[in-house]
Amino acid sequence: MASESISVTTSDDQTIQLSRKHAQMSQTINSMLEDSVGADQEAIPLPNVSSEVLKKVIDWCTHHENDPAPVEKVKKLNKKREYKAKNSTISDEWDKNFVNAELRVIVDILLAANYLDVKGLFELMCKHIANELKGKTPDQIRERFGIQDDLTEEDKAAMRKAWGATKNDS
Amino acid sequence: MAELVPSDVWQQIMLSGLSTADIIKMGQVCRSFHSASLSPYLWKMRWIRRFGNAKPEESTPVSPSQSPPLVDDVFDDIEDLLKPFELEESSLSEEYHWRHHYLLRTDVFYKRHMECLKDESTMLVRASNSGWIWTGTNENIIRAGQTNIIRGQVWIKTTTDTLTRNITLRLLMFYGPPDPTKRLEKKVRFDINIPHSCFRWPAAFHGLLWKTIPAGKIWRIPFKYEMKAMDIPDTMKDCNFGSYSKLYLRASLESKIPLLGDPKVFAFPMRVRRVTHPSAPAKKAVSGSKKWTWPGGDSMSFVVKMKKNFFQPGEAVPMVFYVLNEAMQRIPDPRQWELSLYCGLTLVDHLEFASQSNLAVWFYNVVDVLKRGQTRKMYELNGFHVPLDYKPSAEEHTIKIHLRGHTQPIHVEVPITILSKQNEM
Repeated sequence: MASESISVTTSDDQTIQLSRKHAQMSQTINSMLEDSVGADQEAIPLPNVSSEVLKKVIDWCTHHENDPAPVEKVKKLNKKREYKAKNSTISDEWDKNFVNAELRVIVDILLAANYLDVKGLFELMCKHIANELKGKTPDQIRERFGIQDDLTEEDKAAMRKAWGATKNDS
Repeated sequence: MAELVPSDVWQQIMLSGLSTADIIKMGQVCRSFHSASLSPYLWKMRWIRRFGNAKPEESTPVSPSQSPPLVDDVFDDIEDLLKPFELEESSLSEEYHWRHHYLLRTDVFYKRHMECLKDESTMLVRASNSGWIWTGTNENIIRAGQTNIIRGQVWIKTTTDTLTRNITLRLLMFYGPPDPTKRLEKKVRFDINIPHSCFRWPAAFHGLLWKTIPAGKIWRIPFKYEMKAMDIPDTMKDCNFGSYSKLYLRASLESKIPLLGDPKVFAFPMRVRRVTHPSAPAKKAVSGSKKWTWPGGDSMSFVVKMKKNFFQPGEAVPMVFYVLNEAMQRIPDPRQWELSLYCGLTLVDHLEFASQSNLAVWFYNVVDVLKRGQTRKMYELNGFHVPLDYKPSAEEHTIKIHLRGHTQPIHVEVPITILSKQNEM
């Protein structure tokens, strides 16, 4: 019988135990577990995730462990033939508090969620960053995210071409 | 921080409730955001989330599918000629397709602008008449300092047998309009007639003396026109782009067919693409300078050997010559000093040296007079243009320059200055 907890090794060489239920919320770990059925239970290496970030991911998984799987959501949506643009509203109060962190931490969690393929967490982080971007000018975005303007005049001319005469073209 | 996040993740962020305006602004932040903001996946997903499985019904004025089916396709190599275009077209059209349709349905300004262009897309050119055909792209920003190849095809149908010389294809670049609702402002950047030799006339057109377009069929005539770097103005220079201004390349098909017999020429949408090449050479002048003595007679030649080739295909290489009369020779008859420079420049690839293949040959004819007592005269030449099929290699290259003059023997110094990106001579 499979054990109830899984060991993972993080990028900073910490070994962390997480419940099988939480581990299975990550498609990446889930696939690794399926691949290693019958093999010795060694700690699963997660070279792209630090222990600090993994703990955050586990926190989120603990809070959302009873949520329906994202796959079921999609099926339900398709059945109703509802094609609504995703909005970026975060309705869950716990989630609102969860994303109330430094941008560096948010980006780390986003990357970890992407790597571990935890769909719900990934969507939450994308929504949060989208909210951060909304209504901001290119300069404000650069300042908020610490981005260098590496666009040349040619790039800018290409943009004018690419976007045509949209009302948003500024 | 942006560089830590992969492009596909930025796309997902853009799909998380951001508006078109937000995405456009993100695209203006940096290159990586710009590329993510144009992703076909992004716009396809936006379309699906907004309109479900509904297919875009309208075909765009730039769609290659508007080309009529071929009646006669006589060239074996015709597809080869057009193939790179098609490849380019397919990758561009995928990128363009979803974004275009999404904006067409959601952005009234974009729609109005496209309708304004559509009005001019297909034009019937009647006898003794001409009509403008929008080439269907505003991506043809032709620039000075690089070779621009314009390739495309026109579709022609005549009701009577017609000499090809009665058809003129004219390309014009202009910019405008400042407002999509207003008429186009034609601020011409250049205006050229495409020489008939640039067309790939079908074999069926070839007659004993003239080429004739047989009546009644639709013919696809591809053309390829190479604009040398030095032949064109900088099309971007002085362009005052308003909110809705762009550069357009348009073509006009002109017919000089006599009215008698009610002939018609139909011109169908044509595609023209610019081939992108390495950017124009930075005007950094360093070079080899060598002193030669005019040996007398009517010609001289000299060779500059470069340790490393720095020429790139399509590059324009300006040159400056000085002709010096250091000896201050007495001039009994000023006509003797008439100097005709005939400069043939040859780039020789040493790998192919045995075959004596000339990679670039360019001739200038400078007729000038050195005045009495004049010791120095500078000639600024447009230089030469490296052919597009030239394959640069790290091997040693040679420039051969020939000068031909009609003069009495004098001492002439010809320091050569070649302006290019890097110069190692």
